[in-house]
Amino acid sequence: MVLASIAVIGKEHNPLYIRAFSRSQQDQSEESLLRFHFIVHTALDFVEDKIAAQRNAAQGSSSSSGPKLDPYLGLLYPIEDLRVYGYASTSKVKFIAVLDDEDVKDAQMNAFFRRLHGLYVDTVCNPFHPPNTELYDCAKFQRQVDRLVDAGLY
Amino acid sequence: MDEVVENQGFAAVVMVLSTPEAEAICQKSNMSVTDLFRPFTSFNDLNLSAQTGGEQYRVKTFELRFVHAKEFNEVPKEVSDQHFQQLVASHEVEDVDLRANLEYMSAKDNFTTGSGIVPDSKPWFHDFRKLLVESLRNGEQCTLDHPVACVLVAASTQGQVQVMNSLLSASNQPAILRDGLADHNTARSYVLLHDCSASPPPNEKTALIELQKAYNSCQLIPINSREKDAPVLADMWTPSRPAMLSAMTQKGADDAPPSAEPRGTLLSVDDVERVREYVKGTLCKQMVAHLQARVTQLSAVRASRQGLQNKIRSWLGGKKGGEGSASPAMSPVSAGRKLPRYTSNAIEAQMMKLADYAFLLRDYGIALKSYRDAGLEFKSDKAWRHYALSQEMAALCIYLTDGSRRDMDEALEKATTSYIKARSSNGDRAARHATRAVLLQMDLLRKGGNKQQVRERVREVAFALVGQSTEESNLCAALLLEQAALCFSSMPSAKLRQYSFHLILAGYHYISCSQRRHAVRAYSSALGIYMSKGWTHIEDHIHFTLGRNCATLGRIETAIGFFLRLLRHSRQPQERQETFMKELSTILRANSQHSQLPNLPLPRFNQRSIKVILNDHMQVSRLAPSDVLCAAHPLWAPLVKPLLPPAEATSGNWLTGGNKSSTTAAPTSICVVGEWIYLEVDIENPMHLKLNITNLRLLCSLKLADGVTAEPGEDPFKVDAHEVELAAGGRRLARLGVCPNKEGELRIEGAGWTLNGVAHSSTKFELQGRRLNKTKAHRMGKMYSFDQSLIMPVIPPMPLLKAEIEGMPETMMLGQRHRAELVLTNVGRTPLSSLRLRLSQPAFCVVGEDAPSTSIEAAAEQAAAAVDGIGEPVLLLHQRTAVPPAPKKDWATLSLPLPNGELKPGQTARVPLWLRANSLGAHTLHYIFCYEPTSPSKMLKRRLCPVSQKVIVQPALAIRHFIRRGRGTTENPGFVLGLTLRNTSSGTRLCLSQLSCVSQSWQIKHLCKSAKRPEPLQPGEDFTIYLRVTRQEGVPMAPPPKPAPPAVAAKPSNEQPAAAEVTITHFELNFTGQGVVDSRDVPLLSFLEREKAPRVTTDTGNDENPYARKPKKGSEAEPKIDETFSIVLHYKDDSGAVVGQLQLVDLVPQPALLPPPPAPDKRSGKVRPRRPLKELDLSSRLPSMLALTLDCAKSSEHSFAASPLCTQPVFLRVVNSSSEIDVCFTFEVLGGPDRATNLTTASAPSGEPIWLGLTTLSREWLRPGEKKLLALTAGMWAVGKYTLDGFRVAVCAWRLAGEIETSSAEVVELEKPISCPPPPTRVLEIVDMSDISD
Repeated sequence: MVLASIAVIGKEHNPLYIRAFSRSQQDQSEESLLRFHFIVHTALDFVEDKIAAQRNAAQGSSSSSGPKLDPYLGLLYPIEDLRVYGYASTSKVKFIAVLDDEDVKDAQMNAFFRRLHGLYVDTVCNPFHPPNTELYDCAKFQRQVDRLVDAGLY
Repeated sequence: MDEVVENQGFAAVVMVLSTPEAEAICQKSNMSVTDLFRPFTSFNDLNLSAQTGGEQYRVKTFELRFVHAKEFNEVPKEVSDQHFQQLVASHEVEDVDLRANLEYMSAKDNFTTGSGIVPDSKPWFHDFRKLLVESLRNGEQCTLDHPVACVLVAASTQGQVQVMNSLLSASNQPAILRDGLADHNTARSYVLLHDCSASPPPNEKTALIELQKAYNSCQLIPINSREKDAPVLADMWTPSRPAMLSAMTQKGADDAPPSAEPRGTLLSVDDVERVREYVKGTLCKQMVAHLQARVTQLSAVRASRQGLQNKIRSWLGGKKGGEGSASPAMSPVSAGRKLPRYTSNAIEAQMMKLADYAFLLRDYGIALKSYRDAGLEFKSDKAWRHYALSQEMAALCIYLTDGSRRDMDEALEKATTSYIKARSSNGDRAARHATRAVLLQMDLLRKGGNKQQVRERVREVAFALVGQSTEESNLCAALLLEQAALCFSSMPSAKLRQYSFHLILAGYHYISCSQRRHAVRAYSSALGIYMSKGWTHIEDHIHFTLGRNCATLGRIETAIGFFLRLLRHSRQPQERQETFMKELSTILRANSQHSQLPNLPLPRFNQRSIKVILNDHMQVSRLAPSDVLCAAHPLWAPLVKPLLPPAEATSGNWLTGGNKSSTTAAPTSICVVGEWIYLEVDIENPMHLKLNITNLRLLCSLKLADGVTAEPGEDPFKVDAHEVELAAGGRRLARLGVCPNKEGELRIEGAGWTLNGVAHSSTKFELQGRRLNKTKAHRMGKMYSFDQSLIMPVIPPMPLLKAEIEGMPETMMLGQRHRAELVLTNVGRTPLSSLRLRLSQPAFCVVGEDAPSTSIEAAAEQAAAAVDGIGEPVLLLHQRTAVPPAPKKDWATLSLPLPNGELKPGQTARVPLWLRANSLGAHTLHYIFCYEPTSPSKMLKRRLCPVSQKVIVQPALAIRHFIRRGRGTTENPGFVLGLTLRNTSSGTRLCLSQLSCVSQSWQIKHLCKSAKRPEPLQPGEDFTIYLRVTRQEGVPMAPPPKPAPPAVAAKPSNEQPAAAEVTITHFELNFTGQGVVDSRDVPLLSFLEREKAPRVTTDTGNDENPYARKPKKGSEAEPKIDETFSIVLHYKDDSGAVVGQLQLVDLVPQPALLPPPPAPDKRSGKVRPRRPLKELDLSSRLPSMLALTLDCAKSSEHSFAASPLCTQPVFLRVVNSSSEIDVCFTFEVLGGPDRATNLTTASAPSGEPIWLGLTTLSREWLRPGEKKLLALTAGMWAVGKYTLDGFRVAVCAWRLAGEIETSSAEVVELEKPISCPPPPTRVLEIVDMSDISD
């Protein structure tokens, strides 16, 4: 699995963190980053769809224990040669991963998103971190994400 | 006819073959023969009967398409692309209201979301589809484009049968017929055209005799019969011509060149009707009949194909042998790949033909079946284009027969994928067929099923459109993406993000194919979705693209608007900002008429930082260092308040109410004609780039006062322009000035500037007052009062004082005196008066007093006149008296005299300013001048002028001193003053030149005659000098403090005036013998007086309550002799450049024992009791209160022979030198009686005497100044010198003097008597007189 980009999207569908990973320097241009911005923004439509579908399914099956939603949303959509995966926390923070077009096991993606979610929670638990703000200034979060992506710790 | 079918442009093709003569006849009307027929293609009222297989049915509508034999060519892709470009470009995009987009209306409002149906396509999209269908005509697989009928047209004048036959020759036929791809078996119709403009129409029967013999269907059509006066018909021929006609036409064909003239100018209504009648009445009937016959015929063929034998043959691979010899010819063109090419007699072609004919005859059942069968064949041949077409048509048939939706979708999907498959082997043309199929899919979804189903399938269509866009050229891709975006926006829950994303993609493709207007439209439609949601990266991209493209389109204003939005963001990286700025600069440089940008966000002006600096108040000057005096300075109020009249200085209290004058006073900011006022504002550069700001100035307006007129060409005010360079992220404080030239009301509106030399902009200053909190509305909303500090009245010219200090040193040594000058100039236009000055540190300055004019030599001579030579070398001691100055309370405020009481405009007054470094450290001396115009103005009664100076005071000489009781008479005890001077300077040799003592009651003298003259002190060296301090002759000892006796207060007139009585004496002790300084002179005495003058602090004046009850006067008038003395040490350095005086003031030789009695309580008037006496720690000082002196003869003769014991009277005088307390003492002889008895003559000759007589005395009280004489007797046993000691006087108790009468007298008993210091030693010499006596 080769990650092309990851993104953290806030409650109001505002971008908190969008990062593009690439092997070559050329791909790190502004345009490439812009492309991922568009892809991630568009993915939010699919996230909404998936969540709505989960909710409908949960309501249909059992209403006694309340809908139990899976934060992992699976493949959202493919675009060009990329695949976009999603994960939505209960606090409506969304995590989007853009992968090079390869088959990835859902379990692997799920584990990755859980790790990423953990990193995010650690960061925002910092009492000095203003809520719902961008994470570019959080050096620790950046470092951890780098480790997660570089070392393939998922 | 169904719109879907109509969109596909299906019609029976009629091939037109014409002779040149016939063409010539039509050419007269500026058209071709084919053009003549083209308008008549669709008929809805035919009502012809038809029977294809089953029951007979009626054909009501029929579509025709006339194509000339030379027009059967495929349109090259490039040509079609060109046409698309022209089409899209020709459509005037409704001028998108970008302003509305700039307002960021909610994107959702713009769409009919959830309304169910795909929003209507843009108008040009419909035309595009028509053009697309047209461009795809005459493809190899497009059997529907093969001719069904053939119309042969000749002129009526020609030899008829031969001509017609020659028309049918192979050279005249299109390639598809020549190659055998199309069916030769077509319906034929023969037409003779008659030119009525050349000759009258012949009889139809006679004209057609010959033809009718040869052919069944022939017709004579006379044309060009319009009368000259008849109206010209509307041009219906030009619109019916295919757009890509020239591209379809065979090269070299003599088609009429496109002409701007209208077609059909010679045709009459009758002509048109005749053509129409021919097409409808003759041709259509003939074609339907022909098609019907062909369908029947081909159905039979198909039936035979479906026989068992054929099936087995096809399984075994021996296919394509439908009718024996007919096998599909392999294309010779396709080198490398063998593409099947089906000639008309191939079974697959025949099945397609059957399907097509049935389709044209509206028998969709047979058509569907045939298409499917043909499809199977094509698939097995891997003829993907043919297969795709058959599937496409099958899907259409399913739709028209209301078949299964699933089958239809499947067929369409197969069609699309097959086209794409074919694309790889056949270039991009197949991809365009696929586009057509996708668009068909879109149409079918729209038309089929209920709304809900439609909406659900829209998504699939949208994705199909997006997918297809990747196969297409830029323009088609853009159109498809835009269509897809519309689909997304119409979904049940609108997918606005996908909508916007695809619009952006469409815009990108539009830009790639130079359709900028459409690109701007697409981008601006998408902008609303991204705005203000944190997607700044995308926003910036869209703004930049829009700005750039709008600029290219010449919409400069809009473009600049987008760029300004980019600049407002200012969070982009540096490179991007550089690009933005560069682009904006380029646009502005090219369009200088747009360089006025009212909303330019660079640089940012911090409105909160705005401060107006006036001449009077120096309201704020943050440019200046913090130690410069201004209104914001903490010392401003304490310095200024005493200069103002009390009514203005106080703000009143709760009882008196607010001060009227302050509340009704004019606005605080007042400016004066001809005077510059300044405004300070923080400007900030939020970008990562350096900004060059030029021509930065204030924008003001001046409303002239009544009666003031401005001459034309004269500016009512002046402003100054500045240049500022702001580094990336930098901040600067700008100080902008304005100078009004006329009276009125000046309003500072804002500031204007030029950015980087290209953009001119301005900003408005809007100041907020304090937040309002009175009403609920105030509290709920954030409302601020109006701040009018930017609006100020301009008053007539006023005086303006400019004060400077000349000759002010930066550093001084402690105590150094320096003369500077205050230079006061009136730079205003009217005279000023009542100049007053207030100092922050009065101890440092003496203003306005000048030294006596006498020179130093003269003074020295004067001093020498009263020389009292002492020692060697001479020390000069000089004594002078002076009248003590009246005590002054406030040294800080003084008024300065002006020549004639006023300072005229331009006049300069120089006032001496003496400085003396009073204390160590860095000091800022503030001076504030207050003056009034001679003709006072209501608005501005007085003006202020602050001046500040810094001075650093360095150490010079450090003094330590002590005062000890010296030997003197008991009534006039002497004191010794020890002074130790240490040179603490950093390298200056200093010399003590003179010492002055100033006192009312004390004087100094040298301690001994051989006193040394002090040497110049090197740094670090010290020197001690001892002086005797004695009470002046004639000055009584101070009386003990007692409650003022009423007699003194009652009879002041009987006594002499106190001031005349008291004189102050200056004693000068000069060590050098030259340059005697008179310490009574200015500024020496002035500085001595000011030594203790308090500096003005922030607390000064706060405790002064003007309403407080003032203490009663009267008691102060009582003359009082000052018991203190002051010492002034004059020093200078070697060169004499540094002259200074060090001062020790309020020295008291005999300090008061008790603290002064507390003041009476203000409220009760009672005197509070003093602190309990026991608390006073007097034990250390009590013994010195008693002065002891021994009196006796120096020597005595005694005959020891006569008496072994020599007795000598000795008097011990005990004086209470205190003025405040009664002292109780005891006296005892040390050793007691034992000592007296035990001692024998063996005592040493110089031993102690024994005390006889009075040996003890207990508890003897002495009042202040009282003395007690104790008569003692000393006894000596032998000859010798005796030191008279061996007794002790001790203090055992004390009480306050004068309280003995009252019962409350409190006697303080000491726990242990404290011995007094012994009296000065006396030696008694006893001489033996025994021998003499003997």
